[in-house]
Amino acid sequence: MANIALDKPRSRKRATSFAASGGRPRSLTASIVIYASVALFALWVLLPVWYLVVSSLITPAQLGIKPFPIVPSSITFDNYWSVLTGDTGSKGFGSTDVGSRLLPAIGQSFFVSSVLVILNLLIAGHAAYGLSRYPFSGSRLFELSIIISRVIPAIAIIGPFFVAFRVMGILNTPWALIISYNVFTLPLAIMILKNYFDQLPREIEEAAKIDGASRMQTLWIIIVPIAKPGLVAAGVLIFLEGWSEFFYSLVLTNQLTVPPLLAGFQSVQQFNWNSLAAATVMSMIPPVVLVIIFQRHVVGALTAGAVK
Amino acid sequence: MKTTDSAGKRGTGGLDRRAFLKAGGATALATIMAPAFAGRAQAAYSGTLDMLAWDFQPDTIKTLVAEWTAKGNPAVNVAVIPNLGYSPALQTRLRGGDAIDLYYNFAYNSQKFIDQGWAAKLNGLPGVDDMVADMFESARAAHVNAAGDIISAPYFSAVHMMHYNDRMLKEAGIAAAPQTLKEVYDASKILKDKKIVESPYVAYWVKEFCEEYLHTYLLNEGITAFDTAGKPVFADDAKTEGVFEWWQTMYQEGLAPKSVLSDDPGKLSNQMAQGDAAFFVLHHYFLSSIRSLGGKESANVMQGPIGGANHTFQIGEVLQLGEIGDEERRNAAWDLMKFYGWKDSAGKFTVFNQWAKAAGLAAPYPGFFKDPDVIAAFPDYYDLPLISKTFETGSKVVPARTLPWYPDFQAKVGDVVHALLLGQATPKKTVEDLTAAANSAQKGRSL
Repeated sequence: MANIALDKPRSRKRATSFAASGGRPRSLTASIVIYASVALFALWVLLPVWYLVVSSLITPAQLGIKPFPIVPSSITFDNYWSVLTGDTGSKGFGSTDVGSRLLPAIGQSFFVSSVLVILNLLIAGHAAYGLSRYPFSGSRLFELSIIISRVIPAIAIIGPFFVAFRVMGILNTPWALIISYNVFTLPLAIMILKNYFDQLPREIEEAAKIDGASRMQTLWIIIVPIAKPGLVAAGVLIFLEGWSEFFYSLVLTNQLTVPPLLAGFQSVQQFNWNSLAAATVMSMIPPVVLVIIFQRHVVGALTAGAVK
Repeated sequence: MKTTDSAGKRGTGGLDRRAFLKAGGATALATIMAPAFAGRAQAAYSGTLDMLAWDFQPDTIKTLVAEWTAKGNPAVNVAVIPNLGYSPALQTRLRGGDAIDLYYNFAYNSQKFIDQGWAAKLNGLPGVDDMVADMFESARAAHVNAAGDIISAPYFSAVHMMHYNDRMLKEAGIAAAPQTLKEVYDASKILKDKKIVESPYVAYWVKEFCEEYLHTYLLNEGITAFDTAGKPVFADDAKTEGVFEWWQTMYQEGLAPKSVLSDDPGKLSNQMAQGDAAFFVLHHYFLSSIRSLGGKESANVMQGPIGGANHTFQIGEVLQLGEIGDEERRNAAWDLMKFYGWKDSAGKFTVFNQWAKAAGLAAPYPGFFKDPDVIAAFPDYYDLPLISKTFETGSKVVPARTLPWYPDFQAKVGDVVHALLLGQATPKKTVEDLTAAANSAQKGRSL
């Protein structure tokens, strides 16, 4: 009891010192400024999304009204209905059968992105673990070269891919995309996972080694479970990259996935913004749901190593 | 590239009931009449053809092609990709060895594709001379180069026209829709001064599209931009600077809205439909867009000629035939091309009629405008005789636009014109910059 009584003033003293070092509660003004800034930033980010959602819920004539109706006086689900039924032709130009193609394209995008995630986590997981735990002479340069491969423009390398896939007979299939997307998703996954593995304590691996575990056993039994947040984060980002990719899909397939299909709403000089907005909102649902489910892991893994 | 949704497979899935029954009936008829078709070229080819198009009503494309197939012709694999990115995708595919028998192309690519061996000259193919002879004389130079090579067939054509709000003009006391650049300026000034509309004139002046307006406005003033050899002769015409002065003044004086440098045609059509603008110069078929929007002023928007005693600009995109070694396959692909870019075997403009119904697109053939089906396809608010007359005598194509160096020039026009509009360059400097851009494009052109 005496010890406890003696401890109390010490704790108070610590708290006082903590406050003096900058840990005291913020003033009301500072809080208002911070929250206003955050709200402004959120508005900046979310306004285009809101514009998109509103555009999908109004008629083409309402879309042209000035100022743009941020809160529309009336809404319609006709745009969604017309996209789903394929009846987009009578209200504008461009695609008329997009409804029959949108859902299959969402399915193909989901398949391509999911397979890509599995493949990338397998390959990049091993590569990143190796780079983290077994650095070799020039490994830093090797890491940099992996990153640099991300900056090569798609148009520079798509030609050889096209020829190879034509010979293999896999053009206009998901496999053409799964293989080619590795060019830009693998470096991303390796970067994220290597950074994450660097933060994991080595002592636990050494203990496993003493207990007789092989390197691969250590990786699969010890590291993978504790690296789950990093793996999830890398997986989500790979999924989003695969989901939103346009150019490879444009050249290697005939609108197999969502982005080139949505681009089809823009004809030569004609646009059907309302239908495009409705189709875009629908195609955003799977990745948004995915990010919402795993957002905690994504943020955690991306900031891993930021505070040591 | 082979596709999984060939026309043949779409027989019960992608076609509507009527088209399916028509196709089925025609196939049955073709089977019975097979001996009668024995001598026709397309019957000799038993394989399938590959066609690539951009995403403008792909279901209509497939239905049309299926109708052609149903007449005893080969099945066609129709692949569709978006218009956005079409050119690099098409070139990558052709360079990568993809065998495409017939494809949509931008007119500015047509000669380059011939030079690269990706597209075939049409000279000597059965009926091609009749097709060219059937065109408006004004349109021929877009498909036949200076050497006499027939390089393409029309996919669609259009003419730049003046869309104007008749009610606003009457309210302002303007007797007739303006036609010359000066008349457009004067009328816009009156409308603005009388506060009938704040920024009366809109046009699709984004960087990528300024090149079309360059030709439209030069032709309006009777200026030839390039000679037959592709030399930029607009610089030699004293009136050219005046065109750029007009262009700059329209923007600087607020007669065109400040946002017009980035507005898309959908927004511009809507501005006309809502009464936020009184004049809109662009392809004739934008009248469909303005009217179908159903805005409070949509019904007051009419269409008139521009250029006065001079000309307006005639544009269009094209079809090209792939380089096909097999003669029977080539003949079959050419037969499909004739059907798609000219007339069907019964002499009807079946395909163009569909595009007229879909979006008011036109074909550069006098017969097109006389076809009762076509006349019925255009809504009443179109003055078809005016559009036909504009094709015939009131418009010109710019043959230089099909030359291989032209896309390089085209890419630079937007920057030069925007500098003019923003007051960063004088009209004189704009003439110099555009001349330099044309010369450098011709000298430095490489694939």
